[in-house]
Amino acid sequence: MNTRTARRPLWLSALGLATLILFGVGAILALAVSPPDINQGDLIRIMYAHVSVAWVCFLAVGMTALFGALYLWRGRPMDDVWSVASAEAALFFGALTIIGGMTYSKPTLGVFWDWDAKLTLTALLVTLLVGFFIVRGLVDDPQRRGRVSAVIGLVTLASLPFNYLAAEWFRTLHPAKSINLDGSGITMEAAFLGILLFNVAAAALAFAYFLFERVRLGRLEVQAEASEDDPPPTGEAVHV
Amino acid sequence: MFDSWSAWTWVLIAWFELLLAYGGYLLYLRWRNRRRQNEEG
Repeated sequence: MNTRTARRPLWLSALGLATLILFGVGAILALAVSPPDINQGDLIRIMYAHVSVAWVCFLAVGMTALFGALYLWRGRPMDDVWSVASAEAALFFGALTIIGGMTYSKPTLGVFWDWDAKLTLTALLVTLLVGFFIVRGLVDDPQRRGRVSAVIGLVTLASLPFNYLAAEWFRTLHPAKSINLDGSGITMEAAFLGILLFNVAAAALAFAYFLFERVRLGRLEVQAEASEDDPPPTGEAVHV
Repeated sequence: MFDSWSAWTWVLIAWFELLLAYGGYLLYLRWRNRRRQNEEG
């Protein structure tokens, strides 16, 4: 296959369009349809943007570790490509979580940042993901590079449960969760919950689009590297 | 400085951040694709 002319498949373009539409509808729901909160007023509209990217960041970290573990097990280059694409998205959504969180925190809690447990663990998560790419840049051997970064992906995953529960364990700056996965229930009102879940779906679709597009490019890069390492024969007869 | 900002100013900044970031990542993917094509000659 000529990698130069490899075109984006139609389904991926359709996914991009669907992402754009869902993002637009999610923004309208958050900005125009959502009622103001009794305590936060219109600032509740920031919550839809902040929480959705934070959840998708967790999802991306999970996929980074999953494909990293698969690479450690099977050693297939494409598992590494998927792991790197997921890590890149995790770093993107992690940074966006912190920046959006600061924008939410200042008008509601009075400060942009505080070294409380939840925020510190989120900063640690982003730092680990930055480390993931720094280490990859330092290792030349592709197999060793894939193995080392897979381990960093697994370590990053190990920090997630602490991050998830930090706001419950240490009641400092970051508010406690309104949606609990331990069965203790949902304290968020239905009007807010529906719009939040819609925006989570929109962010998840954006993640899926970024991931598939990044994997497509990663696959082409791996193919190009492989053809450089193993050039075709130059005019000699080959008996098969 | 920030005390005078209304709630809607913060809301619009937060959503603009999201829009800017998504657009920026798309540009990054495009740049990466072009770089690959140039390297292949």
